[in-house]
Amino acid sequence: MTLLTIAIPVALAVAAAAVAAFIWAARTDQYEDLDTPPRRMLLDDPPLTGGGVASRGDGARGEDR
Amino acid sequence: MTVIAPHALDAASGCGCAHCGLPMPGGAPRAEGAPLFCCAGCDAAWHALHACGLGRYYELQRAAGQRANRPGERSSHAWLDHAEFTSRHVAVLGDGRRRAELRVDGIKCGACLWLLEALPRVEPGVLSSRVDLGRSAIVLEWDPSATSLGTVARRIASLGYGLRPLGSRASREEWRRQDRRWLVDLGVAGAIAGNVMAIAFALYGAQFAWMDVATRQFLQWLSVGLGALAVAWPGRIYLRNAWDAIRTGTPHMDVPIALALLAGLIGGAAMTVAERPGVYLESVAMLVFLLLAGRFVQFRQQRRARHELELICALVPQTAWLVGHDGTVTEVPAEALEPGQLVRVPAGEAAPADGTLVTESARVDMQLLTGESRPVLVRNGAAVHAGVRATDSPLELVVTARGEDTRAAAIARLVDEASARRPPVVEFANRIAGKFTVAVIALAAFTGIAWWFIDPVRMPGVVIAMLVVTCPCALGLATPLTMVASLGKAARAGILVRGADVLERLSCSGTLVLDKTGTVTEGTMRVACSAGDPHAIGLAASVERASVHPVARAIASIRGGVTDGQHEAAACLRASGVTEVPGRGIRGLVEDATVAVGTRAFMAEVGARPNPWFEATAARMEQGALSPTFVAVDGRVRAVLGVGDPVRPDASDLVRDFASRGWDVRLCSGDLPSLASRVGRTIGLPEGASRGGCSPEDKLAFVRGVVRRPVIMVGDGLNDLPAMAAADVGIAVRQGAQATIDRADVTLAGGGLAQVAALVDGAARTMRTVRVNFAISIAYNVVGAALAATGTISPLIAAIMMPLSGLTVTAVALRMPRFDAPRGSEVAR
Repeated sequence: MTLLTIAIPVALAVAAAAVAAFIWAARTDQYEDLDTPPRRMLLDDPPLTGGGVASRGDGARGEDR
Repeated sequence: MTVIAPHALDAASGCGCAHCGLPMPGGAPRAEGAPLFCCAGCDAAWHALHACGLGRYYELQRAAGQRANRPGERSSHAWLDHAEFTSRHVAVLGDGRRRAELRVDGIKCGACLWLLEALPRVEPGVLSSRVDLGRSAIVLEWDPSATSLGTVARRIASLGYGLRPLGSRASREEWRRQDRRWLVDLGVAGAIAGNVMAIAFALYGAQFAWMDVATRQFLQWLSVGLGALAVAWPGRIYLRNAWDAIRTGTPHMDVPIALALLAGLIGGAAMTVAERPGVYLESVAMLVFLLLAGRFVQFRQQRRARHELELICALVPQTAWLVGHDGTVTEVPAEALEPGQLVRVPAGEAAPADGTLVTESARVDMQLLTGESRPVLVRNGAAVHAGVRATDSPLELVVTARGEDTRAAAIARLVDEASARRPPVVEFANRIAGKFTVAVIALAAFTGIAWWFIDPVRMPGVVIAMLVVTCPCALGLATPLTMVASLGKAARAGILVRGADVLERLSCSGTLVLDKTGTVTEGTMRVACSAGDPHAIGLAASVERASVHPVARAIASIRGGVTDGQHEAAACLRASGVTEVPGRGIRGLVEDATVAVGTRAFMAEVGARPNPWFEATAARMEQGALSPTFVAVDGRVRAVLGVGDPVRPDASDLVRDFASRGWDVRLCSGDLPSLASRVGRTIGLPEGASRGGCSPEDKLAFVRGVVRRPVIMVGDGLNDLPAMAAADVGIAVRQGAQATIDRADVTLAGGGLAQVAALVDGAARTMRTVRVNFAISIAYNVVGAALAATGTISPLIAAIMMPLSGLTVTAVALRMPRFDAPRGSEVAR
C-alpha cells in the first residue's frame, strides 16, 4: 500500500510531464508539417568556408541514399 | 536563336543545358569545358547559384532524378510590395522583421527545398526561409530596411519558381489554432484514458485477489479524479455541444454522449463515496478519447480540403495590370482594384475582376464559368467576368466588381449555400454509439438493482463485469478503423475522399450526373486526327507557335502519334511575318513557303480551295465533334487537322458500367446543346439524357431536381461546383496542370474516369465491412452482457474478453479490399 501511494503518483507525474511535453510540441507547431523535416535533415550542408549562415541543425550527412 | 518545340527537345539527345538539363539545339557551338545554356535565363540562374556557392543544388537534383525549372518570365513582382497586399498577407514581427507565407509552384524534390531554404545566403536582407513541402508553401522572413518582398520574389522567380499569394493570413491562423487545440485535446484524452485503464485493470484484479479497502479506495479516487479531468478538459466539447443543443432545442447526437459521460462520472464517484467497488471511469475516459480521435481525423480532412480550396482563388488571377491615366501599366494585387479603373488582360491570361469590355472586340474563353469549350467573341461594352481568359489578343476592361462581388465569388457562395442545405448524414456509428452507451449504463443500473435483491454481495462484481464486457471499445473502433483503412487504400489508388460519410452515401445506386467539358472530355483542345501531308502539318505547327489561341496551341504541340512523327523536322522551323485573323486563322512564312492555317472561310480568304477528298474528311471530323482546320501551303490545301476536345477513352466504359449496375447516367453541360448531345451519343447515352447550355444555377437546379438518390455529380470546373455541393457526392476530376477545386467530396488524382467505378465498388465493400464489424461487436456485447447479467462471468474473464472483440474488429477492418483502379494511377499532390 505505502509503495503504491508513492509509485502511482510518481507514474502519474511522469505521464503528466509527457503530456506537458506533447502540449508544448503541439503549441509550437511541431506537428504542422510532417513532410519537410525528414527531408531537410538529409540535406544538411557541409561546413561553409565563407560567412553566411552555417549548417542548420547538426544531423549526420545523409545525402548518399 | 532556333525555336525548338518541346517534343523535339525530348526526342533529341546529347549534351543538355547546364541549368535545366534540356537537350541543346542541334549543332550549337560547344566550347571545351564551358557550360552550355539553352537560354539567357538559365545562364543567369546558373551563374547566380555558383556565385553564391550554391552549386551543390545541381548535385542534389541530379541525385533525385529531377531537372531544374526554367526561369519564369520576367515579372516585376511589384504587387508584393503594394500596400493592400502588405496589409493582408505580411505580418510584422516584434523586432521589426516582416514575415509572409506564399505558395510556391515548381517544387519537385529535396533539391528545391535545399535551394529555397538557402535563400538567406543568396539574397541580402532575407533572414529566414522555410519550405513546407506538403502544402507547397514558403515562409519568408526579411529585414524591411535591407530588402523588399518584391526583390526577394524576383530572385525566387529567377531560380525558376512561381509565387502566388495564399489565402488570407487570419483564416489560415484560425485553422492552425483549431488544429493545435484538437491535437492537445486528443493527446490529453489519450494519456488519461491509458492511465485510467491501467488503474482499472488493478481494480478488476481486486475482485479475485485480496485488496485492502484503503488501497481500493485510493485507486478508485484516482480514477474518479482522472475521469473527471477527462470529462472536464478534452470532453468539454461534448458537454458544450450538448448544452447548446438543449438550449436551442435542436437534438444532437452529442446529447446522449454527454449524458453517458456524466452518468459514468457521477456513478463512479457515488460508488467511491459509498466505499463500494464500482468503476465506470475507464469506459468514460476511453469513450472521450475514441470519439475525439474520430472527430480529429474528420477535422484534418476538412482542413486539407480547405487548403486545396484556396486554389479556387488561383483560377482568378491574384494580380492585375492596372492602366494609369498616363497610359503606364503597373502590376497591382487584384484585391486593390477599384471599380472604374482600367485593367489590361494580356493574351492567354484571365481577367482579375468583373468588368466591361473597352476593347472593340475580343475572343474569350469562358470555360471556367460556363463550361463552354470554345472561345466566344465578345464586343465592346460586354460584361467580362473574372476568370474569363483572353484567347487571341490582349483586352482592356473597366472594372465593375472585384473580389467578393465578382461572378466567380457568387458561384463560390452558391457552393456554400448548396452544401449547407444538403441534409447531413448522421453517421451510422454516431447514430448507434450514443444510444448504445445510454443502453449500457441503463442495463448496468438495472442489473445492479436486480442483483441487489438477488445477492447483494455479488452485485458489485456482476455490475463491473457487465460494464467491462460492454465497453464500447470495439463499437467505437469498428467504423472509424474500417473507414480510415479504406480511405487510406483509396488514397493510394489516387482517389482522395474527404470524409467517411461520403462512402456511406455511395452504398446504393442512384443517379450519376456527368459534366462534359473536362470530365467526359479532356478539357483541352487537341489535334485528335489529321489527314494529308505531314510536312505541311509540321509547317502549320511552326506557324501556330506564335499564337496563344487554344487551337493554335493544340496544333503547335501536335503529338507524334497523330502523324507518326513525320512532321517533326518541319515543326522546328522558324516562321516569320506571322499574322493572325482572330477567329479564323493564321498565316506566315516558313522557309519561303506561305503557310495558312485556319477555317474553311479563311481558306477562301487566302485563295485556297480544299479538294473533295479534304472536304469529305472534314465532314467526317465534324461528325465526331471536331472542328476541321485546313493547312494551305503556297495557296494549296495540303492537310486537314481535326481539332477538338476529345472524349476520354474510358468515358463510354464508365457509362456502360454504371448503367449495368442500375444507375441513371446523365450528361449536363454548359456547352452548346448540339455539342452536348453529340458527345452524349459518342459515350453511349440514350437520347434525352444529355443537356446542354446549362449555367451553374441550371446545373444546381438539375441536381436538386433529381428524384433517384443518391446523386453523384462528376465535374471539373467552378461552374460544376454548386451542383457538386448539392449532390450527395461531388467528384472532382483533376487533370494535369489545371488547378482543381477541392471543394468536392472526392478528388480523382489519377484523372481516369474508371476511378469513379472503383470508388463506388470500394464504398460498397467498405460499408459491408463496417456492417460486419458492427454485427461482430454487437453480437459480442449482447452475449457478453447476457453472461454478465446472469453472473456467469467474473470481471477478470470480462477483462480478457474485452480486447478480444477489439482485435477481431481490427483484423476485419485491415483486410479491407482495395480500391482497384484499372490502370496505374499516380497520386499528384
